[in-house]
Amino acid sequence: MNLEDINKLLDKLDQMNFSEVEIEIDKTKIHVKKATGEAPVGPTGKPVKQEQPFSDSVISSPMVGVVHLEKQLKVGQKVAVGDVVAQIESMKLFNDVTSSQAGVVSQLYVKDGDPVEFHQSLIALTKDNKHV
Amino acid sequence: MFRKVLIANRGEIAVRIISACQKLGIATVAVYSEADREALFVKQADESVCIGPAAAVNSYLNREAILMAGINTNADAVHPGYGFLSEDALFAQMCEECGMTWIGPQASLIHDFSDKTNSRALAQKRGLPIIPGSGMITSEPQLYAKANAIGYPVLLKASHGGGGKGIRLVHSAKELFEKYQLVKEEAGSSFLDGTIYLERAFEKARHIEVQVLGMPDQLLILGDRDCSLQKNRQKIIEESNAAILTKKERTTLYKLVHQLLDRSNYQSLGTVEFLFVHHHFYFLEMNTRLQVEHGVTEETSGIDIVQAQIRVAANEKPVVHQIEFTGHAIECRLNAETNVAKQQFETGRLTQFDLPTDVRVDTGLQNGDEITPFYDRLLAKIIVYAKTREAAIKKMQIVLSDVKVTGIGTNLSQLKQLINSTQFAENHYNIHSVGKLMEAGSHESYA
Repeated sequence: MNLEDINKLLDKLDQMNFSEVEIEIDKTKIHVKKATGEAPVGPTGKPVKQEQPFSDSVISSPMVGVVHLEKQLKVGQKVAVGDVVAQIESMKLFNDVTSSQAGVVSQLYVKDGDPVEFHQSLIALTKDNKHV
Repeated sequence: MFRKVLIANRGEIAVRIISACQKLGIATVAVYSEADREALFVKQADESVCIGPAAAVNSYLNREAILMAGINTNADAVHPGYGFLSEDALFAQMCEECGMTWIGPQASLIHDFSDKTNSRALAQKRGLPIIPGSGMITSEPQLYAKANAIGYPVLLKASHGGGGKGIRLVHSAKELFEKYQLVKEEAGSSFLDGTIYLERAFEKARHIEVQVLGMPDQLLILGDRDCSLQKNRQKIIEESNAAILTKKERTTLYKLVHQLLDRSNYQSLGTVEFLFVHHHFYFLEMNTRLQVEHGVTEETSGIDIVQAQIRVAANEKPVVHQIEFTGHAIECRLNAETNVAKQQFETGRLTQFDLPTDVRVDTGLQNGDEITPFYDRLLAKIIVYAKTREAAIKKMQIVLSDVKVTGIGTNLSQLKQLINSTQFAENHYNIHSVGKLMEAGSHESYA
């Protein structure tokens, strides 16, 4: 990929609806995170606190509901692929949230029992070999 | 009165409902898909909850997600707007079970009146003339037999369709099977239901509808509308009242509406739709919800229909005394469209979005917004009001010339053509006029 290709790709990506993406084409790896013009505004019109932890991946809620974190889940804890890290209660049903990555919990964005929306960040993970 | 209303909808109608809630001192919760994160209605609501990805089936049609958003934000009522889950009896029932008042008729009435097959049967039972048609089609041989019995051309309709979706005109037995598959597919994907029926197609008919507001002790009739100008069965220009009706015809029409609803104790907003052919009314369907074109009725009746609907749902008597209709109102629906002849769905970014400022414009969009392919094509509703129909037409002609939209295609030139046509001025049009006018227009361009 040359610089022109990358520029074209970035233009294309700019028109698409996402906030962060990682793409690998012919050994060129691009990580794009979009700047969100203004700070998101919360229900009361006040800016929502932006969470910018050190993380390699974020586990987000697959649905609207109430989050129930696994009891033993703490910052610094190791998580394996497929581990259940939380449950989302929706219409009295409990839905498992599993980790698609192995890593170490670096931050919990939510408290047990918090209401959550679709794709709300729940847990940040860093890669196993890094310091937390 | 409610403390907090969740709006289970998007776009201009969400904006409209938020405004009505604000006037009533009610807090609002917007639910939105990831595609609508930056939308005007999300910004205007007091609270907002992302309920799913862009595809409506996973967001605006996701009952559980919307209910959880209501529970999480402590909403005490749900306003469904139009489309999406607005005529979903199950959702209405689920809202009530979750402790939120459904701003609409009770689930059993939605079942009776919103389902087109049920409402036709009920209308027939209550002595209303209905368009000759079939019952539910369950097999292919039945499809051919029923179509032959009714006679071509026939309309293939999905029982839970609406807004022009799930309807096909069939001219011959040859076309029947292909269009049957198409409608079945559409019905399955957009309306969570796949049942189909047939209806006779009339060549020259007007679409006349009656706005009602049911209250505990009476059924208020909030006038009528003429919505005959439709493109692919989607209304694009609506008028209030229907100027074509004589006083006697109007009396007959309202009598039919009472005949249909009086015994049902219908306590909400609704619209009863009729085809008007050779001075006769045929019951078409009923919509048990707020309608896109409610604005023209608000202009001529002076009633805020959305506020009245919310008040009735909250068991408060809306302040409606004697309704006096004055003047004439016309609405044009400005839609995204690439090419009027090809009817292409246009998407892109609105780089210029100048709408008239001295007349009523209902929109959920702002300059710079992205028009996504996920939802309907409505950009704005432009509504004019004047003392006479003639003056209203003049006013619409003027305000349409002020509209400037760039970045995406629109049906603006088509609206102008219709509003400036002799047929419209003389009030000589029918439900097929748009297609015919457009055809004539495109031929002229070759001459």
